[in-house]
Amino acid sequence: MGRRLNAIKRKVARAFKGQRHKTSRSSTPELRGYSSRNSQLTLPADCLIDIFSYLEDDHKSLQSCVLVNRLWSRSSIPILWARPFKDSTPSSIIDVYMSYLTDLERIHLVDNGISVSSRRRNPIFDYVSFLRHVSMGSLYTIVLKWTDRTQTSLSTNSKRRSHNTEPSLVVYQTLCRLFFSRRSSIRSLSLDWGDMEIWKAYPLLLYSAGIDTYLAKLRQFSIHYITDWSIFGYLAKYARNIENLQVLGYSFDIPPHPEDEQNLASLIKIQKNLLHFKLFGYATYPILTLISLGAQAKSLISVEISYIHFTSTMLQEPTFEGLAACRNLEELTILNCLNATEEILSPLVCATFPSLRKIHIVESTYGWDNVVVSLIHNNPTNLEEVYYKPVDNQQHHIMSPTIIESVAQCCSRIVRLGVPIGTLQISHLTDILTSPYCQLRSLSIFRMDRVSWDNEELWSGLGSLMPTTLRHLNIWIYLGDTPMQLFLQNTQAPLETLYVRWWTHYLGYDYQLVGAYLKDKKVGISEFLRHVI
Amino acid sequence: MDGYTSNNASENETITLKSSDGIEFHIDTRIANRYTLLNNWNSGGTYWFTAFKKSACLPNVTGKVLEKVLEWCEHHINDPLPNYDDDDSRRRNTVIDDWDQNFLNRVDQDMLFDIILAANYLDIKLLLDIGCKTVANMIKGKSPEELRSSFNIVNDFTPEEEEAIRREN
Repeated sequence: MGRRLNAIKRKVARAFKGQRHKTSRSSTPELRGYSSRNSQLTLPADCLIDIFSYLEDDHKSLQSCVLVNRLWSRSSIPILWARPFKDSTPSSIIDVYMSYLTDLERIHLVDNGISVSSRRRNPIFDYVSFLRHVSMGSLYTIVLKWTDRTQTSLSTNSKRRSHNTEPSLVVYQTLCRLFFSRRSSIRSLSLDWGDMEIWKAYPLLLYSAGIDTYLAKLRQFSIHYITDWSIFGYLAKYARNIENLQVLGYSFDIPPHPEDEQNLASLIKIQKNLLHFKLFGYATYPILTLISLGAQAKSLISVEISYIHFTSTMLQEPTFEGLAACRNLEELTILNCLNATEEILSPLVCATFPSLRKIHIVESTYGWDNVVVSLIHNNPTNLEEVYYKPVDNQQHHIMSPTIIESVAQCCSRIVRLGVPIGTLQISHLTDILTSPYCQLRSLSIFRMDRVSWDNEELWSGLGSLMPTTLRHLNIWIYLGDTPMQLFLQNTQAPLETLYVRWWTHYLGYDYQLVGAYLKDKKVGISEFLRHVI
Repeated sequence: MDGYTSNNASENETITLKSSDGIEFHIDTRIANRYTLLNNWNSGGTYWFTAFKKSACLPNVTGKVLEKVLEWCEHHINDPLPNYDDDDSRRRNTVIDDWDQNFLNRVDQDMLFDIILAANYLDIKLLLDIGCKTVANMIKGKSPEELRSSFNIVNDFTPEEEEAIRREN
């Protein structure tokens, strides 16, 4: 069983034990019989929690579930409150958390000129204990909305303000103390504060007493703005159970000093079971970070690397040796990584990833197409997704065998396919589409030659070959209305989305043509004409 | 009474499952081997096993429901086994394919709930996942009143409780 859901199930079992402050029992005595009453619904709490877990990103639906009956309420609330901070979250949520503050904490707020309601309500559930994921940026956004709403007339309180700290920052810091120091069960933390001043709460998050306990429990950590590289060194002391690590954006405006980057490499190396790693390189070349992946060779199952530019005065060493050693890798994603040399990529060309399910390479140079072909031939057994989107000036670089030829030869279970294609490779595409094992759900094709594809017979034929499993089609090839009309007339594929690059950027969509295809289908035109892979 | 026989029963070893209402199903051991609990029974490791080797009683599953569960198992007998470590990652990757969609569309709501209960009881995780995801899809976008009506649920909140929960959520 997943740790997180099991924890929720345990929590639900004792949802009403100690959830209320002792003084609250008399105010809601009816709830004592919660667990013993039966509703007419035949599904038990265990199954309901499983069901509600699929709605964790759909707060509106979860809020409906909360109000259905007692069983649904206590089964859905831990999921609704596990990840409460999104930019769209109403600021009234802060009022609920405010009710957990001690008298001393409330006095601290008042002393800082913050108006706090004198009417205290004891919450029905122990919402703080349900908190699993904190996005610091979203939390601060909601606090700002709360202070804007509630602190408009500070009047007499403002006279008592003892210093000039922004009210929103004081509330934010108070809530951080509540979440991180008191009864933390946080498993996932996003330091996504962008360029906001709230990164000044670093000390609260990292250097307070007892913080090591919550850091040790962290399973997911992402950082979007690095103000001080030593944060990774500090994390490396206590946060050794991270399974999902994301280092994203803003952070590499200038290349990190090797000593700074060593802190990040140390954090990666020290993890006991790092499963997922995502790095946004911001046009630099973090060599030490890439090399450190080798320390997680036994555990890593997905790696995503974006915006690394392999230009360095340092020797072009094979920095992917660490990644190539990850024999359990299932997903490899490379986005907009430029100027890789053959030497840099050579370890990946020879890599053995027996469990590889997904290769996703987008607009990266050079030699990544060769990597894809090699990965397909070396690791075909479980491959379900191959997506290779070339950069524009790569159209005439035709290698042999091509990616589509390799897929046709090796990948009988392909579900999601994106490939460059020339007219000479159409036979390989038809091989894939007409295979008795074809389960293709998404197809993206990119033009690879200068030969015209505006051929009615060709598209009419391709339409008839599209499998009935296909849901998403993206065509990055010049295509006029008539071939497309014939394609749509002939296809049996129940497409849910269609994207035609030339229509979107140059010609405009022929809504009559698309409308004719969508006649008697439930999907609307705007929903249909989208790029989905 | 035999309710169900695997297509390959004659070629492969079978075990017998007996539903709560006494219907016997002879299933291919390959099905049992795919699922932990059934496999435990097949190995004789649990108290459900009767004195007759290779037969087990399921006191919580009726013949009608067991027939549907086994129909699903039979269809997926040759699927590669997923190797997700935990439920969270398994759920993230749950895709309801066309056959499963049709399979679940053909049953009424009571049967859907019974299939979920049986999958939970028999620890058939993928069937449990697609069943739960189907119900989650049925919940999406509905108001509390619509949910009560759709799932035949009685509102057992007191007005005070409902008001308090509404205020906090």
